[in-house]
Amino acid sequence: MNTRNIFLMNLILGVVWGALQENITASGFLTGFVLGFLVLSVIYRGYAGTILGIFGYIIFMVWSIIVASFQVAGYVLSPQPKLDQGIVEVPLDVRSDLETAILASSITLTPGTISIHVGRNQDGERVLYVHNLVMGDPDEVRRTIKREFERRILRVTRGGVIV
Amino acid sequence: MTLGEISIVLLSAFGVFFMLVSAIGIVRLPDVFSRMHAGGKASTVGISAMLLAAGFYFFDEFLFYRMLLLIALLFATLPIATSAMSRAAYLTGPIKRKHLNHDDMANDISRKQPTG
Amino acid sequence: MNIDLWLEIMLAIMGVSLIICFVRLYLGPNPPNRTVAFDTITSHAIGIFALLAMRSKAPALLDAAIVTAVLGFVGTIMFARYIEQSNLQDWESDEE
Repeated sequence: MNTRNIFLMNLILGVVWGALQENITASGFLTGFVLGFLVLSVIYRGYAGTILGIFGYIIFMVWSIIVASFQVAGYVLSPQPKLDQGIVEVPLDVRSDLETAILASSITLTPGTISIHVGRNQDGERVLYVHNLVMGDPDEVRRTIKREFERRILRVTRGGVIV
Repeated sequence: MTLGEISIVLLSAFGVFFMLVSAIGIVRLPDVFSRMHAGGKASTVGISAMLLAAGFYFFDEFLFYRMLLLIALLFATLPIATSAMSRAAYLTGPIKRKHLNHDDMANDISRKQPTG
Repeated sequence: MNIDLWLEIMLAIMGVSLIICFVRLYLGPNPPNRTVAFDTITSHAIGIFALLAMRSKAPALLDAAIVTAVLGFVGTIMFARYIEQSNLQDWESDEE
């Protein structure tokens, strides 16, 4: 059983619980989903960690995009915006298309960075090109992206479930 | 005004402020990539705040969940649109090189060389 | 203060903001910049639909916001693809 199948089972449990109530409402479905989540996380070890990791990642993204907007507002409304722009290559550890897409979208939503292109550098490595509004040291940018995003994504997608 | 109405007005004002920031940003900032920072991030937060306010205003459970789904759709699509635009701008547009202090993408071997 | 009055004030601010976006669409100076302006204009359209639905108490207008969101994404991707595939290199530079 992989995580996707267990999540599907959790959804079915939620729908069944919601359909057996007096009135069919979305909150009935949510109650069934939470109850099913509790039961399944007791049966399958590691499932709870994966789902909570996904929720934690979503909360982290919402927080960082609010910070990013305030930063952009600061640059736009300051009389003389001091910008130091540059494009940095970040070598990728993620392999699948889904992981790459999530990583690129996350980088675009977080403060000061936009992902431009997934390509190969001269050594043939798979790299992501990231545009920075305020750059500083390129190595520091690379280390921050690998530590902040790539490790979180890999922890969720490669975490796996112990049956 | 009740407390709910005040919170709706505050949430909408938060959204309107960021939409105004993104509009001023795409006019004021110096080159195409910094304009994308303004147009991509600030407007995502602005729309999400306004849609959330609309979801609270009508006090309808299904409408609220629909607004949450729309916000999820926007969070999935707007970064992709921004990335596609910036890649198109880099590959073809005569971008203002003096604003780029560091450019690793110049030695990318996978991209198509412009012809003609 | 009535909530409708606040919503009308915010609609007016959104209108001004939309006009500022059209300034970038007019100034250009090249298609990538105009695409950024187009993307921001579709975002503004979604926001105006949300505010207008609250002001006129018509939840059906939120469906229009959903359609605008999808069409704006498709339009932006289409413009980006067009710019990328076209071989026009004699565009004006970004100089102000």
